Amino acid sequence: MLNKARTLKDILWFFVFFGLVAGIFRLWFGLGATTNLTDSVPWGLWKVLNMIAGVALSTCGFTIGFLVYVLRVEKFKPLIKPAIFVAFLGYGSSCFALLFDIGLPYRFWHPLFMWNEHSFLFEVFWCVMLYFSVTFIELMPNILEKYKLKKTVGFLHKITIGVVIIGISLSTLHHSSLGSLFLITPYRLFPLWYSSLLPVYFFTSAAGCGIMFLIFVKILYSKLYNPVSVFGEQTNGKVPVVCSLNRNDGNTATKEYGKDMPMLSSLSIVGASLLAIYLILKIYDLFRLNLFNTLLIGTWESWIYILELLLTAVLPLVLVIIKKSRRSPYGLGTATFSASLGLALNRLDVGIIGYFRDAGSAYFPSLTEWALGIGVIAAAALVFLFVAENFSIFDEQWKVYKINKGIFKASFDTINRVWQAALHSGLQRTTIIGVFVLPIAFVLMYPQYKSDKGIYVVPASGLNTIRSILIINANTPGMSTEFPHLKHQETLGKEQSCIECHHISLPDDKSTPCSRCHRKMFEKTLIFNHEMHKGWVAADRQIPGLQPENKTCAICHLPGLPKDINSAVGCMECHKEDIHVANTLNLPKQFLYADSYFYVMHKRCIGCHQERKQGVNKPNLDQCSNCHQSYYTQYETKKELYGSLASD
Amino acid sequence: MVAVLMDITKCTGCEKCVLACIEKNNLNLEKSYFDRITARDGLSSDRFLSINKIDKDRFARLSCMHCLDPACISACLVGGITKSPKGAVIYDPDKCIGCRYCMLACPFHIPRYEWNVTKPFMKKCNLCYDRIKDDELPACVEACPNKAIVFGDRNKLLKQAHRTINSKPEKYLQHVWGEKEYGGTSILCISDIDLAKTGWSDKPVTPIPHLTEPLIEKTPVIGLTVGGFLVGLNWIIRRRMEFSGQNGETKNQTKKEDGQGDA
Amino acid sequence: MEQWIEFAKGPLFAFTFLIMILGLARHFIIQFYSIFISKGKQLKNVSWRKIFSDMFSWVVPVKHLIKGTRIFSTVSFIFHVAAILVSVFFIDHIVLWQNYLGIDLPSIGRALADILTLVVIGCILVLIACRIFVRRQREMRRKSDYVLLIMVLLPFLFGFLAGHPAINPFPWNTAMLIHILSGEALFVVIPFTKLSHIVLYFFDRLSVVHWQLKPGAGDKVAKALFGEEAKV
Repeated sequence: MLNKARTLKDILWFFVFFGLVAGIFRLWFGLGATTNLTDSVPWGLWKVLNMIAGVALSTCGFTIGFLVYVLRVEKFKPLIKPAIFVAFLGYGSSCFALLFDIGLPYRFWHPLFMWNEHSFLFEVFWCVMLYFSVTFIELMPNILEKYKLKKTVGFLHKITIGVVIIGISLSTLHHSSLGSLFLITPYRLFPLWYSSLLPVYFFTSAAGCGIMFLIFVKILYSKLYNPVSVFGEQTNGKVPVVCSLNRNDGNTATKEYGKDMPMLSSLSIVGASLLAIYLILKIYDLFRLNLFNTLLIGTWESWIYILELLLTAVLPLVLVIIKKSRRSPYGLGTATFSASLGLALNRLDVGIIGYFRDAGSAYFPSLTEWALGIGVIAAAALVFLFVAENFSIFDEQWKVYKINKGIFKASFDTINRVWQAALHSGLQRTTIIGVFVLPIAFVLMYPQYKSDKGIYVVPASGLNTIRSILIINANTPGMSTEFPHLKHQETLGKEQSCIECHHISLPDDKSTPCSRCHRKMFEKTLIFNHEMHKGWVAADRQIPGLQPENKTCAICHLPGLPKDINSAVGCMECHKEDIHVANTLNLPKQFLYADSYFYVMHKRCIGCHQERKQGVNKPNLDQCSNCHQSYYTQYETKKELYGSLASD
Repeated sequence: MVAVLMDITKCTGCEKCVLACIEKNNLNLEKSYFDRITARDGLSSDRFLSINKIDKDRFARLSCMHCLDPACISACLVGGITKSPKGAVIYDPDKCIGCRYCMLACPFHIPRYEWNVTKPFMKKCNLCYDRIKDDELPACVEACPNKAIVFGDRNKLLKQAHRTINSKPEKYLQHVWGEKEYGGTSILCISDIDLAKTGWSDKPVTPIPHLTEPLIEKTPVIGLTVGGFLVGLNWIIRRRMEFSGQNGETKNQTKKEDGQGDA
Repeated sequence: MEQWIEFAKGPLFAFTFLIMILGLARHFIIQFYSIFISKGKQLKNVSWRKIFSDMFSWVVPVKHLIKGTRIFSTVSFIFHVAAILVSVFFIDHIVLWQNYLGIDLPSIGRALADILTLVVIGCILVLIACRIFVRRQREMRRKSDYVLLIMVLLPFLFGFLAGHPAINPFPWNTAMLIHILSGEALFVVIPFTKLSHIVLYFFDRLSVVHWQLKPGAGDKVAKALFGEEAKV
């Protein structure tokens, strides 16, 4: 039982450490380097899963508050503390994750003073903030009880009903407003999800699934710490508590579960009836907007839509309606878990997935986004477990699970004493997880270790054999520029003219084409190939007494210095005769990087054209349109060119 | 209200306006060329204006449309986006918190974000509001060699556009894009081919904020109604419980609860 | 091969180095916590002078030069000094410090580094020999002692070979890769073996607090076991 809790905590710590590194990287390197967000999909996992779905799953605070304080259903009173606490943690973790999502986290307070009353986001901000304070006030008595501040607690109890009513109004507003956020995107959101009823959907589904989520938390918590209260006595020792809502139906011979089960199953009926309203509204909306064609056409969106509806409403409803599964913790657990999962999926659909078709590109969160998103949730769960262990959040009192604070003396024989023995005790166990997880997280998420995301652009797709025309399209189909190579060669003077433009002839090349080195269209490229040089340079010179492969090192890297770029001799030491001195190119000592193709072509062409425009009496020779006219006028001449190519 | 009128038939796609825009806004030229290829519609945080090929030899301008009733202004929660007196939609980086709701709200997908920096802001065309304030032309209009884009008062330009398309009905389509779309934009287009399949795809006449603003005006009312209803409900239930408590069975229970409540 | 070197220099180096730093930091925190905070009250009875003099006398082997284990303590002292000097202040490693952490450190000369490296290699060989041939140490040995000594030997040996192509029988890349990988293996091993005395050494004397023995108790035990003359 406690071993299970400990394993769960280990897993949670794993995610927390991962999230810690992710959070630091997010703040250090910025959003672009750590997330997969783009201009087409600006809202990602943190905002939608952590904020919108997280807040939606924390509605139990106000629904149970409504049931207990306003409607005075005394049956659910034991659940009020965990409900408020789950709400508090849910809102807290959501807001914390949101701090990492917004571009300028240090300005989170701006909406307090800078108002735009027309924005639903503004309303959500205020309501969430106020409601978070309300949950805090509601929570205070439970914490203060432990410190025996009777006056404060008494005062807080007196104002409870007022605070609860304010909380319920605020929740009604912001849960529907979270749906209204997406009303502003009528032509971007996929029509299955866009509806003018979005606020109502969001409110009903959040209220229903919030209750279900609380039941799930209760069942899970009991499984870990106090199985008797929900799962019943495992042995035959004591008097069994019969789970039956209505003792008059004569069907008391059902399986015996814990004493909390009747309460949970009757609560699940409340949640399920809210979900039923949600389901009916959704189906009504399909009729109203006439979306059956879109639903049945079989796009992947429609499958996700059906899955989401099944998980959120249909499966939980069925499981709750069947009496047998409703009264069993396993059936109820499945129902509530499915509802929570479905709710998260629904929010992801409305917030992210529904925009893919419009954006024209899909988005899958990066590792950093998953790590931080899950890490924040894991941290909230750890706080929950900690508080539930040390304060009386769930009403029953049980033996507080104490960690054995073992202390180890310094010993060089560490692997046995300091490491293995630490596995049996609390915080020292956690630090071991940290020692291993932090480096892994660092290496996996460090932006500079990721593979180069930049696309490789092949600049010139032309004719290598004849070289009469070079067609430069820069990977933009439909837009290209022709460079009439043959024409230039003839105008400038046949065979002798090569060196006018080609400034280098690498070994085995007559005159090296531009794209050999200027490989990328708009970026500099690393052109120095170390492996290749190693093989070639050795053949040239002989240094006696060295291991054959090491001879080359001594040629380029000066002895007595670190073997890096700075200690190597310049490229011109060897390549002097390859460079055509005829043209006035200013080559540096080390030309490791070649400029972009775009840059060098413009530089070479425009410079030369500017010089020659007077001589040949063509005033437009240095204008853009001289080369780039193929955009529109040269469409016909293009055909001629292609024709001439074919004849060559 | 000022506007920019573009005649699609006159544009040759030389992109001089883009260069002028980059120069005026001090943007990164090299990155902007890279973005020309990687971005779907040629817009990026270093490219506020792009010329897209929409047909064989037709080019359409894409930049902030400067709607008359913009969705982004309604969306921004700190009021960081405003409309200048002359009608340009301008952005205040001092207020922005980086929530990117404007990017989600814009029906034209215009706002761009500086993803590659650690202190990012939203970037978009501001119609050179600092220049038009002094009755100068925006940089792109000034740079256009073919007079394909002209700048002026919106009403006058609308009249001019209608005059042009009426005078040559065989050449132009009888529609001024931007006149009514989303309640009207400050970028107007006349064309000889249908622009509906490009950035202007079957846009409605209603401005986007009309979908949300009537609803948000009701929120205080809804909040107060819910609150009042709950107070009433609570009062009734309490009365009934006290009443039934006096009568008998639940008396003990109620007392016990009150006791718990005070503890 | 060059990609492997790049990988070993990049992610693998960060991973192993972080494991070492975090593991040692964990040792430090736990020891600090358990001695100064958890058992704080008992620190009153501790004779600090005795602890520090003990610590110092174990660092500098003057005492042992006069007494028994002359060769061993001298060699091990030289080995420690040389190994730290070479591995931290070698000029090629200074470049790494600058590249990764931006720390500017003074460097020892290349010639001195070469000499010190040879000294380290020699010391390790002597230490291994001590383990094998000196009776007193052979009785205390464990397999891990040999393994760890060889693991420490590898990076120095291959670093020296990589720096001197004239005597290097391997290709430079191979030597370099083995140098880096064996160094990283050492990083990983440090917090989990007795090599963690990098940090734990400073707590070793202090942990008498745990034993709850008074200073000088060891002498009494020795007296009881071996009689008046016995000295430990």
